Amino acid sequence: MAVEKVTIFPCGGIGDPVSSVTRLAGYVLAEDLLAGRVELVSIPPIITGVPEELEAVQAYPVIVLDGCGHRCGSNALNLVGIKPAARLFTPRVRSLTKHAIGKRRPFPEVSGQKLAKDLAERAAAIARHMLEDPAYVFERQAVSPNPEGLHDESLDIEAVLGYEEVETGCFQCTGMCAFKMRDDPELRRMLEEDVEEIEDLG
Amino acid sequence: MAVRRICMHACGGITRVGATVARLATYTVAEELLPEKTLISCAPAFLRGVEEDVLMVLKSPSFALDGCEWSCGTNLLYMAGITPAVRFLLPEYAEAQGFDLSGGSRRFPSGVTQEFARAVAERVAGIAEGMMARGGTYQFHRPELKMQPDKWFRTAPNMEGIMEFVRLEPGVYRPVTMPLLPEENAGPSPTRASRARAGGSLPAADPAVGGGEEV
Repeated sequence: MAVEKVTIFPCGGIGDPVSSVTRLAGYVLAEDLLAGRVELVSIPPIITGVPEELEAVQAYPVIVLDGCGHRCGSNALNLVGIKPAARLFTPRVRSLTKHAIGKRRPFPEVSGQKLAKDLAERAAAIARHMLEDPAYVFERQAVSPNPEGLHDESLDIEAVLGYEEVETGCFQCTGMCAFKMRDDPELRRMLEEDVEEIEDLG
Repeated sequence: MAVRRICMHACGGITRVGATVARLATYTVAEELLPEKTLISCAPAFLRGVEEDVLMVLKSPSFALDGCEWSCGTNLLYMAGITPAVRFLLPEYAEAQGFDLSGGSRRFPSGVTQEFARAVAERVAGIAEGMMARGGTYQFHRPELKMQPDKWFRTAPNMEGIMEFVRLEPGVYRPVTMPLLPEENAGPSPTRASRARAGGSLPAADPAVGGGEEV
């Protein structure tokens, strides 16, 4: 039946430069690759109850972009009882593409921007499958407090969500409809031609 | 206990310009204005239980930067039993300071987004310098971490009904239960922001100090 929209959930961090990479990947998806077809969401508005954000994680499949080994994005969704439809794990994607995260936090260096595009390309390919394949099935989810893992990093979030790596850095969550991540030359062209890498913002 | 460092707690949003301002202001304080004296609170890591991210909001006074009326920065702390020492409501502060965020970028640290972030950072640093002043009287009392998932998903803007504030000036608030800020006791001091304003690089403000207005 496909879906009307897909929700993108970058890790939402701030201290580690990789959080600026996942955040930029979200903007590339929402503004450049799939404008109007994805919603961007972060965890604080979900927990505090902002209506639009609550609706976005319940009504559409969520692709979470975990930035680092803490896996805060996945954990945050688990805290509110939402299962990710797909998960990209930045350290694994980076191991494949070799684009460095960089050190700058307000806005990534060119290498970090390339890594953001690597993430966005994969997320867009998955999202397109969800948006366009009639065989993709998604059932609306409902938020509910799930304090398992609240302020407790000992929780093995990988095991809790039953992640299975289906492509390098790309994970399926137990109980969610299988997705495909096809190579898409059109997405690559858009990223190369339309998404400029910026050396210096001035 | 005396204050040696402050904790910056940006709202953590992604959809609005105010959230990007909160994020950039945090970096400006931590990397330029008060390096070594500023901790950056990461909301998802705090929820995850990353030790340093939990400890920093318990050991240092927090500055919550709320990017919109939903006040997720302040609210997320509140839900964990923590009250910020100071809260900025950025859209209100922007209007009062003469910044129009309607054309600002949420994606790039440029233009009015960057300019307003610096103004916020300078005001934060001015307050923080007073709190950390050698021989100062500001005292911080460590809160206790609470788990209150029963309070999640509460749909109400501006902390209505759960936290009361003293308005120091438009967009800058102190929760009524938190200690008076040094500038409330001493009157206006030559903070970074006021020095910058005196130099003409920022729009004139109307600092309502000396007790403020309870709201």
